[in-house]
Amino acid sequence: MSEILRVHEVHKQFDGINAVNGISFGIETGEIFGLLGPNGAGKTTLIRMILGIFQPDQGQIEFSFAPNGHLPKEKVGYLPEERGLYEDRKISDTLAYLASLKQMSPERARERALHWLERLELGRYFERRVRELSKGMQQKVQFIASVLHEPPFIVLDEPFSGLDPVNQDLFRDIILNLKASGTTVLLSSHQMNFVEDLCDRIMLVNRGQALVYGPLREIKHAHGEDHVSLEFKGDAGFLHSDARVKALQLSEGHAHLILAPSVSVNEFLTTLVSRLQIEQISIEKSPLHEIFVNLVKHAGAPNA
Amino acid sequence: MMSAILKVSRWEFLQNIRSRRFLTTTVLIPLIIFGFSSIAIWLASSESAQSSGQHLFDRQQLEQLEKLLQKTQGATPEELSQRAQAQQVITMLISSVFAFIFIYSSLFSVVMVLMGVVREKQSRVVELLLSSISPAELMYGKILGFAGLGLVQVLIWIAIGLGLFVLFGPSLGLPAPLLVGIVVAYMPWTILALYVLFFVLGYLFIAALSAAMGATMGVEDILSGQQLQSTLIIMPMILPAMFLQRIIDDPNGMFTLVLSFIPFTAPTTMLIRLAKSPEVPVAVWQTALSLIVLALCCWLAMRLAAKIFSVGILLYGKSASLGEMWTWLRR
Repeated sequence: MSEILRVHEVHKQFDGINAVNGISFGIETGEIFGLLGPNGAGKTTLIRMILGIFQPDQGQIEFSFAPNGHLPKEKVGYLPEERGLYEDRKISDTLAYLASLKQMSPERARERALHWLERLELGRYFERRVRELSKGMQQKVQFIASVLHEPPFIVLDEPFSGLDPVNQDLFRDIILNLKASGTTVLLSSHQMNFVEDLCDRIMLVNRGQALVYGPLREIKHAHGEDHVSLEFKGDAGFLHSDARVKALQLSEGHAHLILAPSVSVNEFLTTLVSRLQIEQISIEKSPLHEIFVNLVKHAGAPNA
Repeated sequence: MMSAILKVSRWEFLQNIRSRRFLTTTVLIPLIIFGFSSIAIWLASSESAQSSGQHLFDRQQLEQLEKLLQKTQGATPEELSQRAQAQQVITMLISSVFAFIFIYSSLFSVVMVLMGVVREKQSRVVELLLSSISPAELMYGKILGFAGLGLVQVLIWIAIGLGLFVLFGPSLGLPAPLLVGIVVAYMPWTILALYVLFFVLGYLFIAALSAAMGATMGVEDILSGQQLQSTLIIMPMILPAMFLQRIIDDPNGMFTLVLSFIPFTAPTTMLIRLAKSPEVPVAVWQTALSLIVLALCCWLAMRLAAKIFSVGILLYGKSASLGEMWTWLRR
């Protein structure tokens, strides 16, 4: 796989504060890349630099389709976290205008806009004014504005926030379809279930720096703990004194426990099997949510 | 670059030409002024018509004037000097009307620029736009769009003025076709060409400052923003009009000279001086210097404004302090 984007040692300061402080990463063509981090970590600044809205103080940002360093803006799409449209204008006019700024012909823009509105169940609103739409519908229109001109690279900043579960799933499917059609997606979201579901690789940033970066599975292996849930017959009291168990919730016939780091799952299972009669068992890595919280908390400690 | 600016200006133009604000300032205000003045004229003319059996305007005098102006051969020296005087008056009258229209129109446009920028910040659509175009393109597009709006307004006024003139002039004893003929024949083209230069540069100067000002405002500060704009930009702009008498009485005095070379006051001052120029000519070097000062300041203002605009436009919800703006400029 070749990289569509390479970010190298990028810095950005605002009034003496390092918003982005030496971040390097690459995004591969055709993948969904997750950009995670707590509020104020520097995600938006990083995205704005990638899209050419801000210039980095130091470092380079290179797209494979712009080897000379000048970003052709019609090749990127952007759904900003700050949502907004022209309230008094028609959906058709608004989309045609935004598409024209991306060098798209009016006829083609109209055709694609209708296609997308149909797909997002907004077909009959084409000639309506933006203010007649609900918040969720406006968000769909904004999403359309980001993909209308069929860019090879799009940035979706919090695409799921403010949507009901049905529409969240709709967006999820559309993002997967974009990937299937070869579009590279940079997804920034606090909805960890969707990140886990969608992303091939992720980067977690905190205080302007990358905490972890790599394939989602590897990160889950490296930083996740093993969560064991089991139903059993027998006396599981021995688990209280087992040093390999880091946390334990035990009730009659049910147990939920977290293994300490570097414990061999295999050996632990052998113990369980020898002491209890197991009826059901599941072992899962910690959800991304927990990894996120732990890493950020740890990094946030003094002297970190 | 240019195509993006044009696209933005077209959008801004269409966006605002249907707005209520534009309709009221363009149509309603002239209609109200016309309504009051026509009532006054009607009252005055019906009174004088009753007392003297005459119209408000003396048709005979006007026809004499026309004859005088058209007489090219065999005019006596007395007639020639009368004619020159009449031409001067006509030129000055026409110029004054255009001066008023230009000044009002550019003031209207910069007020719209400030409002437009703040409203766009409020709509939060800016970030989406900036993934397609540069902040400078967005700013110039807005400035151009509102200039177009101002020009349309001027055209509408001229059309309304001419229409009313032709419609109601005869009933007041004004032979409209004759007067229109005189105005067209004595249109001071050189002065108007200079007007356009001063108007364009003057407008770009205050529009750039207004756009930058708007970009630093939070939405909740729109009222204080307009006050600030009035104090810092509009007041200096119309200051020469308040000292109209002084400028007309002493068109080459120190006071007038100083005002001619300050970018804020130069357009209005020079418009007044040029209107008076058939009588008291403006030195060519003064016109040139005034234009050069204005052009330089305009260029500087546009550059600084683009910088402030590009940072400020993405800050939502709060107004920037002067100190913050200073750091943006030094970037």
